[in-house]
Amino acid sequence: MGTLPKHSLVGFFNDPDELMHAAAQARSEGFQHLDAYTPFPIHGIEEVLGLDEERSGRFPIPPVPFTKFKGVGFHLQRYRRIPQLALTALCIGALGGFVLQWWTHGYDWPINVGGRPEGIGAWPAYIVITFESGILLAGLTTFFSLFAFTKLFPNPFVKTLDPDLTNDRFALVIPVDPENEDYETEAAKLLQRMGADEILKVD
Amino acid sequence: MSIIEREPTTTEVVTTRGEGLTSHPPGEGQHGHGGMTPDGTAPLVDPKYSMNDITRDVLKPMFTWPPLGWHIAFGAAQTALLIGAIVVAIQIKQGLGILGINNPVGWGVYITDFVFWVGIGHAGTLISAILFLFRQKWRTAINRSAEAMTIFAVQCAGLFPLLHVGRTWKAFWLIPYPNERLLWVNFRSPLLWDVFAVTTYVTISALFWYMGMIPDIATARDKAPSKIQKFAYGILSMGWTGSVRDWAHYERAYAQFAWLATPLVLSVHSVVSFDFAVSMIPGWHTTIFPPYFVAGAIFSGFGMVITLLVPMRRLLRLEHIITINHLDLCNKVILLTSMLVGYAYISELFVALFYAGAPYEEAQFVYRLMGEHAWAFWLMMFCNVMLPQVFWFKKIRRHLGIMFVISLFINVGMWFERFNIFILSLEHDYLPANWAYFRPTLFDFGTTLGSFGLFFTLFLLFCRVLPTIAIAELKTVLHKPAGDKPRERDFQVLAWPAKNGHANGHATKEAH
Repeated sequence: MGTLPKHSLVGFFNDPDELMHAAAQARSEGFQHLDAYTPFPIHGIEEVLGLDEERSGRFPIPPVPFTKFKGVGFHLQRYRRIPQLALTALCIGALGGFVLQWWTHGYDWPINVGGRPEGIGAWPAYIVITFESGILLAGLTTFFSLFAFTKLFPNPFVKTLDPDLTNDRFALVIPVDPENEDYETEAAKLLQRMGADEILKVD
Repeated sequence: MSIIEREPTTTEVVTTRGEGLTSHPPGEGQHGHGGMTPDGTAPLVDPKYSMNDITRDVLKPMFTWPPLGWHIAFGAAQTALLIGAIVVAIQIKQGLGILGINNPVGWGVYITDFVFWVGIGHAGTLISAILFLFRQKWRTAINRSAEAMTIFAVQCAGLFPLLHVGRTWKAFWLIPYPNERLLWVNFRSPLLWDVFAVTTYVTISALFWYMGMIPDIATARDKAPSKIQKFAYGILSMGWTGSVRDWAHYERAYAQFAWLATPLVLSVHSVVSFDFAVSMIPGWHTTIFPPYFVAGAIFSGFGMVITLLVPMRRLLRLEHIITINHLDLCNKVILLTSMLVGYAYISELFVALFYAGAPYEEAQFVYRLMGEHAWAFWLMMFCNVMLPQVFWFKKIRRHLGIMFVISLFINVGMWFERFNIFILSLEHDYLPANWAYFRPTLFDFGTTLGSFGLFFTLFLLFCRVLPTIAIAELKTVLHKPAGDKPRERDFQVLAWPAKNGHANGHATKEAH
């Protein structure tokens, strides 16, 4: 769940492109910890907002191995966790399914059908369930890790900045320092210059 | 609100990724390249509809009393479900003997229904997962309803093996768990593979469907007119706010599900076909079965998609979102898969009659062509191979009435395809002394009717309470909203002092 910073300015836009331009401009002017609320996914906005550079949070996430080259995922390491977890779960599920069949048919309760091989000798017959159990565990992991990472839970009382943020409005959130009025004014000027049709002060 | 002073450098920063909505410089054109159909002629949604229009039109059926047509359809579906429930209750009490199954034909209408319903499900996953991976953007208008169709169809399918085991209350013995009977299931049996394949399929499809729906349920929560609806959709939407951080994880999870569902959907009907291909009955024991079944499944599934969407888009007034172009593309898939199954039928016949030299196989296919049940074979040939050929003509592909009727024929034809494969093969196996004629009873028909009742009941309820279109996804393929046109809104707040220093109308809106 994208949590709103305690003190921030929220600029509302009617157009995804305006939001992108505003975000890029805010970033280039040095504003940090930006966030945005959009009714649909906008490709590339994570990079523009600089989410990849964030290492703050309760549990600092170590860098992901094997992705430290440009173009594949250097920028968005933090947001590549779900595929990695899913791959791990796929392997564990498949291995577990295979071992279950091997053990039950080879050791716990061998069934002799016409003298055909038992245990590991009958491995081709185990492939289907191996595959299915791998997919099942990977799918469940993907589903639950989504909620673990986003900290979403069945919450009917969630507060939204504007009901139209899930409809046709876009919001750019710039955290501000209440002590530093210049910073706040700069942020407000930026939002207005970039075409925000409403600016909301949250504090 | 059009005072936008953009620095020239800004555009460069924004367009580094070179994809999506930001790929064209501002003010270039009204349509993003994502808004084109595959042939690049028309936008997927008419440019005159804004994001707000899409939201309003999709959510309207959820917040208004449904039209008369919905009530009639729901009443009919409930009646069929009630009949099915009564029939199933009698069947569970009396046992399988009241069905048409006899000594050689141990797998009768129940298994036919099972494979029919599993097959229906495949189109939904094809649309939601495989077309997603191929970046077919036209899928966005129909993927939600097709996925719903998948889940309901697989639920119907799952009923039949559970009933067909006879002692339904012991069906849980199919689950491998350490038990007091000290027995394990036979993991080497294709019937058990089926248990795993179908349960995995229904689980993954349901999770994929629900996950894809969360942002749209959040839209429904924010627009719901009553407090009860707000509360219910609030729980279902998992507190979704649309933060970019959430979208980043969500997008990856969605793509992940597509990658998992794609091999899964191809495997499920392959595994179903192993039930037959792995056994030794003439007419079943062929290597062509897995791809043949998968093609047939997609064919029948798209038939059902047309059967559902043509009335649905009319009843829910979604003609401008599920356009005739979408139905046209579905009909093209039907045409393709019709030829694939036609090829399978013909090659199966050719191999059996002229190539393999297996006498029992040959006798089986002569029986299919000219035996007592030959009408079922020719009905299948007519509905699945000959009739869909009319979709070569563009006018017919785009004619609602004709495509609806043809889709009904496809449903019938695909049901009889399974009837042919399963029942005709069992009627004439090896020993002539064993041969018998299969005659379904009213209980067979009643259960089949009941499964249709269940399917349509669930689908109609879905139309009533959940967003039938993937709203958020559809907005990504929408035309770019006109930047210089002021948006119609009942309030306009210009909150901050303008550049020249004095306040521009209103004060800052304070939120605490």
